Amino acid sequence: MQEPTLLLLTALADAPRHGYALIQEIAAISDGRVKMRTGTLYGALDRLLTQGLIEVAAEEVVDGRARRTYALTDTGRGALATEAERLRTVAAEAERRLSVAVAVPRVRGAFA
Amino acid sequence: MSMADSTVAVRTALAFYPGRYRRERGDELAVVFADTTAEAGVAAKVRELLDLGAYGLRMRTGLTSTSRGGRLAVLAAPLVAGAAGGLAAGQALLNYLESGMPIGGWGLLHLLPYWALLGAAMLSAVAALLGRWTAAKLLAGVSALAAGVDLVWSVSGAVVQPLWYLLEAFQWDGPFVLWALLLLAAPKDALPVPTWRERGLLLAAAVLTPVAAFADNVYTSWYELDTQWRALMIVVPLLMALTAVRGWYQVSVLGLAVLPWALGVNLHGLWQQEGGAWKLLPMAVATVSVAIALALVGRRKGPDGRQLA
Repeated sequence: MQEPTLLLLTALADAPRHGYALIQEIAAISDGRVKMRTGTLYGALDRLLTQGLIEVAAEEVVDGRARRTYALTDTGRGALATEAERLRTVAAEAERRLSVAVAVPRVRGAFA
Repeated sequence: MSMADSTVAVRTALAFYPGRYRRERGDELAVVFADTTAEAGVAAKVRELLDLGAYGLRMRTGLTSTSRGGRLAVLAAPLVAGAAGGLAAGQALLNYLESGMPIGGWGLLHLLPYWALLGAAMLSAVAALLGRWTAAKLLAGVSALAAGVDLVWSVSGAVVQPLWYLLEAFQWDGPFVLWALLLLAAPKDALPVPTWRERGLLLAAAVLTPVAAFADNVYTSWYELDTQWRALMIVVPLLMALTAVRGWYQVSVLGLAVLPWALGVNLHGLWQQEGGAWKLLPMAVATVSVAIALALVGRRKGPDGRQLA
């Protein structure tokens, strides 16, 4: 799963959100590193809708502004859980290996 | 806020979207754009606008990550990046072996676009190998631009028979332009993190393309090949590429990757051997007719027999 997809699904994991809220949430989750643009966001949303990972939860007009709210489907929730588990396994293995790593002494100027 | 309230720039960007999508989602896109750029500077607004328009263009041309065209371009991406990089590397090596110094041999003014083309194509392949698709696409764009400059340069000096010079230059420059367009057509969000398979395909294309291209003197004006063989070299990969409409992506991708080179090296020869562009018209009409027929058949029935359009 590519990072933008992971971030988008993560942003929808706790609650349904509309387009601009998703952009803000993704920026917050990634600590400001990923700033998704409007066209890119809707490209990803359309793809995830086609794949059945998200759905349109509500369509409403708020203050005269059109707004669609998106939510995870059960399939999307499952895909996110699987990816989170995979990342957790990799992270745990990385930490385990770092903790048992043997420090190799650096020899400077041995052949000088 | 609605599309009607949005600026001319936003309405222009939204005009790239297919009408139905724009009617259904245009207001929503305009609202998100307005919120996102509320406190942004001019440069950020321009980047947002370009991004907004680019997705519309992708939708309009059927090159999104879920469309057939987009998926095909994604599958072809490692092959075309490898083919362009390999051909450029092969040419650079030949130049060096023949002249002993890194020059194009076409005069000083040709140096910049010529080496920009070679350098950008090689770096693009390396970037693709590393999974840096944005860089790979950008560099492919540079190589296409350099090829375009070279094409214009070739024609601008030709007082007599400019088409001859254009097609002659297209032999070399054309494939790089077409390969770059294929790579640019691939939607970034669907391009994979390269596995051994994508890397293997890229490297195989990088090795096989220069071997096939430089095995014979195909780039020389005196190279002779029967017209029917030249025609077959174009028609076969074209028909292979069109098998995408039947869902035969493995065959289609191979045809799509080969077609730019086959087209480039044979158009000039065909034109020259037949003695004029108009004499190629019957073959072109027949090929286009077959292509359209295949496309229509594919439209009516998909690979699983379902109605598609």
